[in-house]
Formats: sequence, C-alpha cells, structure tokens
Amino acid sequence: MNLTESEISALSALEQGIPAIPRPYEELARTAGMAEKEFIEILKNLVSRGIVRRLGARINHYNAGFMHNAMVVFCVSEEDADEAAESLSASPSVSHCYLRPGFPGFKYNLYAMVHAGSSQDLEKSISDLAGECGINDFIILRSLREFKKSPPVICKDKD
Amino acid sequence: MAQRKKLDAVDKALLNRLQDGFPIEPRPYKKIGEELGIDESEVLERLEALIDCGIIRSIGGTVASDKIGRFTALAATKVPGEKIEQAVSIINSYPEVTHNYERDHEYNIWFTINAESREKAEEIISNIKSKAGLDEIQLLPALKTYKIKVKFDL
Repeated sequence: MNLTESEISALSALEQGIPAIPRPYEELARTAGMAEKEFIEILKNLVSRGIVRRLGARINHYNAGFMHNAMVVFCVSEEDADEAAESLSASPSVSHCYLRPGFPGFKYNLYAMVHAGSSQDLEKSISDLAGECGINDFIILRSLREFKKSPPVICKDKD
Repeated sequence: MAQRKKLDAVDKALLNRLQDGFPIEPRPYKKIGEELGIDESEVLERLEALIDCGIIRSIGGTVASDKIGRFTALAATKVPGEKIEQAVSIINSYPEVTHNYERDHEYNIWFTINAESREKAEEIISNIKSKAGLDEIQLLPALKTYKIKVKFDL
C-alpha cells in the first residue's frame, strides 16, 4: 500500500508518541510540518484504513501487574492448526497467536503469548489452554530477561 | 522508575480507556475526562504519574506493518551464557529489531524484526551472525496471524 508524503510525515511524527499536553495533535502537526486540522484528518483516515491499527497507551505489562508471561509453542499438523489457534485466541490470557514454520530440531509451529498476574495463574492458564485446544505436544518458554521492547522505526529515512 | 504504584479505581478506568480508541480530535484528554467524569487536568496529571512509574510506556499508534508492505518475523538463536551481553548489544543496535527476550530453552535468545523487505531482514540477520559469531539464527515469519491483542484488562 502506498502512502502519500503527508501520510509518511504524519506517521513519522506519531512515532514520537502522543504527548501528555492539552493539544497533543497541534504539537505533532508542527513536527510533521502541517496544520493541526490536516494532521487530524490524515490520522483519522489512516486509522479507518487499518494502517494505524491501535491508537492508545502502550502499557508495560510487568509494571501493570502482568509480570508472568510465557511463549507457549505447540506442535500441530497443518489441518489442526486453525481449530487449535481459534481455541487459543479465544482466551483473554493469550495476547498473540501465530503459525510459524518449524525448523530442524524444533518441531513446534503454533505460538501463543500467555500473560498472567502470578506464576500459579500462568501455570493454570497454560494447562487450561492446552486442554481446550486439544494439543498436548507443547513446550513453555518463559521469558528470563527483556532486552528490548520498542515500536518499529518505519519512517526514519523520510524526514 | 519501575517502582510500584497503587492504582485506584480512576487510574484503572483511565488505563483501560487509554489502551485503544484514543480520540482523534483537538482536545483528546478533555474528551476522555468527560467520559470518565474527571477534568482534563486530572487526566493529564494521572497520565503523567502512570508514565513516570513505568506502567505506560507511551501513547501512540501501532502501524500495521503488513499493510504497508513491511516484512516482520520472529528470530531464534542459541547464544552461550558468556556471550549473551555482547550478542544482545549487537542485535539491539538495529532499529529494525523491536523486541528481544532471553528464554529458558536451548534456543535462548528470541527477537522480532520489522524491516522494509525480506532481503533487508536477511541482510541484518547475516550481519548479526558474523558480528556476534553465531552459527545459526532461525528466521520465522508468521505463516498465519490469528491474534494480536495488546490491551490488558486492569
């Protein structure tokens, strides 16, 4: 999908984050070199086209009390993948669910990110999820350390 | 920064409201305040406190990378304990690397990459391998995306 120059400028300004001031779009518009009204119109349009998927606060789930998370990876056949994934995705404790290729020495291909407030809740969620999706062949990869979490830099060359 | 903050009911309501559908109009915080029954100034004060204590990373938009033709993938590699620090600093030096976690598995370093093209991502992977002295990095693009949720109910 092609973006216009103004849309790229607006996205680039948006990447800095929406400031906590009464008229945040006025400031972003200034960065993007346009009027506040134009910035707002462009942003509305980008959201309605699904290019900006979610506008809002990015929360740090560790600090918000969701300190326990794991990447649970299931081994599913191609024909069972959709049904298992639908079951996993229906759970509020699963934030992300993807089918990815397996690779030599790693047969697991269905990925679910599971979040909970305590390690007991996490254990329980995972065993419930496995039971509900009917796939018993899985492993749990807990996160030991977070080294980086930042939004993608999409427009860095454009301004 | 990561000191714990006791959230009251208004903070929780604000956090839930702020996570999606941020108003696109000249005074967005005034609009949110009206919805929650508090003043714009109180919204801003509480928001600043939530940012200061590290619960909110930032307010912004998530760009649907696939819709603008970008290549995204998860990458997995094995890094011996004594080399983790060096490898992580090499991996994280690329702005295309957006998340990076150590996990309790033989494949212990898992990072995500968001690049302008598959070729660019492969070039970065190959540079990381040679700079960090890694034999193997598996690049795992999603074959199907079933769920992307970033909203947490508080």
